[in-house]
Amino acid sequence: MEHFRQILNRLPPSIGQELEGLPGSVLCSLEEIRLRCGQQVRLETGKGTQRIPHIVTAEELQETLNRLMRFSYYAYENDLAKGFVTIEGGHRVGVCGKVVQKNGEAALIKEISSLNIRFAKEIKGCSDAVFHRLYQKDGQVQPANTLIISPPGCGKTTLLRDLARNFSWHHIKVGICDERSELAGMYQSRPSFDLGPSCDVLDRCEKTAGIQMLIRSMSPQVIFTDEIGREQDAAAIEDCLNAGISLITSMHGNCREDAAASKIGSLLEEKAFRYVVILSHTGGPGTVKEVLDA
Amino acid sequence: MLKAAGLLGIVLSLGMLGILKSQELKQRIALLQDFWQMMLQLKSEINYLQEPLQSVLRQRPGNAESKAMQLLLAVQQALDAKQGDLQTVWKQSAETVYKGTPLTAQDLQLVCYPGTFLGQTDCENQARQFQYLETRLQVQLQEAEEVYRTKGPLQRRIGFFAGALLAVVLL
Repeated sequence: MEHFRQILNRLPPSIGQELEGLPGSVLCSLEEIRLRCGQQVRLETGKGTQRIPHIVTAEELQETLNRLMRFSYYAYENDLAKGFVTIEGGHRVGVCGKVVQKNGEAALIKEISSLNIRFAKEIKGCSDAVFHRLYQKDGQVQPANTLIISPPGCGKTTLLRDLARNFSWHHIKVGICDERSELAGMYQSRPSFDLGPSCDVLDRCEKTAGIQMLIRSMSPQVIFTDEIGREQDAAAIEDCLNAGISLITSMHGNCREDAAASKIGSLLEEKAFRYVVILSHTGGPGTVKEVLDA
Repeated sequence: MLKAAGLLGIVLSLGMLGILKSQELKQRIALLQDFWQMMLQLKSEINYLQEPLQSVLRQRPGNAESKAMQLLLAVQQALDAKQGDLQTVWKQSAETVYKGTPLTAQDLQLVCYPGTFLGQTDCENQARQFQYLETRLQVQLQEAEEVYRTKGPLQRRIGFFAGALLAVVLL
């Protein structure tokens, strides 16, 4: 319920009051709130979709975004240019509207037409099944380099977060490079989730630079980062592995072949990862479908 | 004896009135400086640290005497209570906090101005807006100092002079 309250406090009263009247069971299972201009409010829960008979206006969308960004475009300008903002608690808000371009790149989204508020979830124990496999104990205690693959909404971030917590509680020095503030949801120097006692978080830092900074400054045993897939990510991963530091990361896809065909495919060929974990949505977010030897 | 005391009272009262009027001019300068100081803090929090506005409003220094800090507190409370958008909230809070102060209509216009741009653009444009506000505040402050320099002593003298004149007439 707490994560729902965080969002509810930021919604305009017109929408917030409608949501407040929902039964606790619905609120607890909320995964997404979708607001589209001229449409009813749609709630995506673990059990399906529910509609609220409130037609969302353009003004409400703008007000919602303003409140979610705490009236601070400047603080979210880089995120907004990528089509989303991450707010306090690690919740991600996807934004659609008219894109303003600057030097050929998206710089701003105006005339907001839809918002998708995705709740960050902490499912403690969802990584327990894979944790002991990824935690190599042959000779030296060291987490195994692992790539988690799944389509959106299957719980990559949830699993990564729980793995980080597990390693941290096992006294492995964990470094998290949290480019989108989703893994740790840092707010006023504290993570929004339980990440254990041995975790250092570099918040809102681009992965390539962040991995280097963590290696140099915090000497972690394992680095966690989310959603890789660009060419420059491959170089950062190589730097990490060459430094003798394990890496556990995730990417979008359905199977190992999708990863092999991506821009980081060469790393799979070179056996940079020891395991590939495939997720599915059948048993809820963070459900492990299979663990493959890379 | 009683009459002389009464006349002295009139001279002193009107003299004091003149002093108070001149103090108002001084207070206007102090209020503008206080507001400028607050804007400088806000500017550095936004441009350098890129702190979200509501965090900046919460982290304001604890000088409760400062009208500018009272303004930030009022804005923060109104935003938390969802009493409207920033522009409206800032304007209403500024008008409430600075009500009854010696600020001129032009000064108040400047005090309300941040509500029109704060948080609504990227960092680069926030910096430009702060620069513009600073320039206008500087001009306003110079004007306020000039008014105090020229009219301050005059008002003090006029107070005593008017008191003395009234005393002579009553005599």
